[in-house]
Amino acid sequence: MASSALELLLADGRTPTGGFAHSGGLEAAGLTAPEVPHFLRARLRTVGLIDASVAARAAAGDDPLELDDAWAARTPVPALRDAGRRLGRALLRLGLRLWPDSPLDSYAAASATTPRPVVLGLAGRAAGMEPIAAARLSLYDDAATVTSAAPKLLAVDALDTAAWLAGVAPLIDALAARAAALGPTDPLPAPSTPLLDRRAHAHHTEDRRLFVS
Amino acid sequence: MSAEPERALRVGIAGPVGTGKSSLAAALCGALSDELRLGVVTNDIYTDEDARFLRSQGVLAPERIVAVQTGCCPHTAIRDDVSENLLAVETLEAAEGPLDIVFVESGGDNLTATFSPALADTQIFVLDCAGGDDVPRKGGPGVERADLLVINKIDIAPLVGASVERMVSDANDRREGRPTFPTSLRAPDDVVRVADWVRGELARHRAGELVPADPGPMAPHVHAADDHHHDHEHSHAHTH
Repeated sequence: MASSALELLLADGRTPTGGFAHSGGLEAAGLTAPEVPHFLRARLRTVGLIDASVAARAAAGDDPLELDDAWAARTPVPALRDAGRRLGRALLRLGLRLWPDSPLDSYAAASATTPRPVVLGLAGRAAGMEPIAAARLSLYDDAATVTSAAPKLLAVDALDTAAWLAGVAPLIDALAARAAALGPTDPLPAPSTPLLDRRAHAHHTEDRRLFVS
Repeated sequence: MSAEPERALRVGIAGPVGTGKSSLAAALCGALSDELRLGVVTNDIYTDEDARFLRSQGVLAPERIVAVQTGCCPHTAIRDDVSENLLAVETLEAAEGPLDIVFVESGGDNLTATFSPALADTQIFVLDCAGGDDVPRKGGPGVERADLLVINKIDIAPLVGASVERMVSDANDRREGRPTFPTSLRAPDDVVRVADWVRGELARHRAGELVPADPGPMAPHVHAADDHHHDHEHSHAHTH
């Protein structure tokens, strides 16, 4: 049984899944405020689409352990893989509480890495969501992580950052549809993001930072 | 012989910025590391300076000390979303364990920040004389209901015009019998007293007797009905 309120629960930054400690690469990027909406779009089209595609396939019932590997192969920076896995473990704690008798349980025992997109897809499946809903949640979280970190990093009004998020809503919908259209035998998207990757790698070793990633 | 506890005792150390949380953690590690297997998770606001400070003290192996980032939300990280800290504790135990105690040092925050029972089994709230000797009177969940209140830097109290006696007396008025230790970390006996308290909490943890006593939420603790009752009696006493 699908429930739109459960989608909202998983999208809500107040749900305790550790997201507040991440900036979606914004801290590492060192941008000015007017650049952030472009940054949001670039992320959504690349890493956002990868994560959303993995989440959609997990929600559709693909083998989650194969998706663990597919996601890792598309996430080349160790620090970002680690951040994705930590966020996945935090989401898994929530998922096991909400859906203790779902495939999340066997996945938690079998997966050595638990990246967030796979956990999100399985949680969506447990909640009865369609793959497109899991993809949309993944993309929304990617963008909202950046926009909620922005007022802590830049001289910007949080109303403006909410408007940035609203501004990418059509892109999120379009990319979610693309991710959900993938079949089980289709290759997952694999765009590369060398600048994001390089910055993430450098950020990880900085000793003055507010955010994990 | 009792079974080995499933996991380490988690001791939270909270309190405002600069009151000596890191120094207390270092002192406790120094006092306890010969007999117990320890780990520390620090929650710096802006850097990993606290973790580096602890490593530089040489009281624990560097890999036993980990820092987590809290995205400018130190209170969230120990109270309403403890995910990052719990994962750090679990990862530390998996990599270095078994451990007896993991100290979780919060980022310095305000008087309302206390640990969730989901993260800390027992917690120490640290104030200091230099922060103003009226702070215990102001109260708050940590001052009133942390398992242990440490009033630190009593050695400098005369220099900053603070009355340790007043601080302890105000704290005792609010703590309903819970312990308050006036402490100078430069005085070995004071460190021993806090370390002994930690040993006692560990013994309770191992005996399965330690149930986290949540100091309570951030909102002020008000007995509305009681206050009304007191006011009522009070006014009667004066008007009749």
